[in-house]
Amino acid sequence: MLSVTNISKSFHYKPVLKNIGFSLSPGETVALIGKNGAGKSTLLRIMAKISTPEEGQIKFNGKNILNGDASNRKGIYYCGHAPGMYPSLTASENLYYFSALHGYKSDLNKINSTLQNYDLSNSVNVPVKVYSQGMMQRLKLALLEIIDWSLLLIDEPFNGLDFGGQQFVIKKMDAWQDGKRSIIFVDHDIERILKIASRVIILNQHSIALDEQVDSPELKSKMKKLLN
Amino acid sequence: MFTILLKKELFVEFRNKEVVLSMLAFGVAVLLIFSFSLSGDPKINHEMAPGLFWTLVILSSSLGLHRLFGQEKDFDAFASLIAAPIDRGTLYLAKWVSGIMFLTVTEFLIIMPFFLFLGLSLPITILPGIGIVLLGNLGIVAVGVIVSGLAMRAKMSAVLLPVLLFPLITPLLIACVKATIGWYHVLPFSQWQFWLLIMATYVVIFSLAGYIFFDHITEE
Repeated sequence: MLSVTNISKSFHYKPVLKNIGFSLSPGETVALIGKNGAGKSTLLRIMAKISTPEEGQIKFNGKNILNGDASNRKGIYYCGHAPGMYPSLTASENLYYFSALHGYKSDLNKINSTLQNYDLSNSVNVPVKVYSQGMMQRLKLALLEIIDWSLLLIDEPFNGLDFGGQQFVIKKMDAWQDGKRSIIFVDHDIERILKIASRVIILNQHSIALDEQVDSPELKSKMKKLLN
Repeated sequence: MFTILLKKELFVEFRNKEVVLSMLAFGVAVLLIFSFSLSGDPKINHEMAPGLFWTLVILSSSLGLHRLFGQEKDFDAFASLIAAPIDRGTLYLAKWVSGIMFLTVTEFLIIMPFFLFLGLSLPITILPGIGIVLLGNLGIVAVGVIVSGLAMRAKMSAVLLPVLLFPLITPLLIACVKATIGWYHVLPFSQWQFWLLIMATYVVIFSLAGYIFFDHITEE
């Protein structure tokens, strides 16, 4: 599904990523972890073609996404740290617009029922700039019910959420693991990662220090060692 | 996709009135300064009118161009926008066309006070003037969207934008002023057609550059 080859990136001549390479099969849920500044968010942004690497190649379903046609990226959805929505638009307007950008013409009924399922129906007509962090996170995830994605790149989905919010996201991520769709997420909580992910990639010293399935022996101790 | 992007630009502006209102407010303030600082002699004002008009346009537009990516910057909607599978050249075109519309609306609102405050006589023919202004707008916004896209990620984007914009836009502004002098002072067309050609060339070069390179301009 996704193959990342020799990705290198630096900011102001300071290397952030060096020769990163891995491949991803359909149905995998990969936790991308590492210390602060390890380059996790940068790697996600490169895979979403928001950031450009100095070297390397990324193929999605066999098609080059860094230099190829924009349509080669159809099916990839990036969900970053920031809200990533238009502050003056309402939830339904944002969903309508971003689903259109991803090539889906959704009707307002579907959008409204999705917002209801995500417990946002009470705030459907207010600009999203007044939303709390938890509401904004739910809104970003609601878009995933409207568009037909096959690879989700999600950066710290639990950041700033209360216990209920975290459980909500975990439930959704569980539901999306249908064997066809893949998820790459950034997180710091080892226990939670081991519950959600099927595979763990640890970035250390700008390179991949560990790439193992969650059922591999002594993974937890290896993760603790690399992250401390 | 172009229609979706353009509709969104217009819808967001219709809701916020951020770009047009900021340009209009600034334009009126500059116009008031012009009208109080000039001698009041209609002859002198008539001579200076083309230069004053384009000074007003470029000062106001720099403010509007700064806010052209304002909505995308505030909540990092820009990341979601460019991560979507859309051609970034099309995104440039949508920003360009919407920017031209916002600038033209502002000019439309400010043109009568401009003539009124400076005690200017109305031109004999209006259509060539509209053509010059539209061509100027095409050029200003073609460069402006590129510069605004470049400056957007900078911490001091409000400072960076005019620093980059004004030197790039100067040849176009000279051509705009010269063509406007030719039209407003009723000079023979052969004397100012060259400046129209310069303006058109400028528009073609920068709009093509924006369309082709916006992909690289917007990436981190």
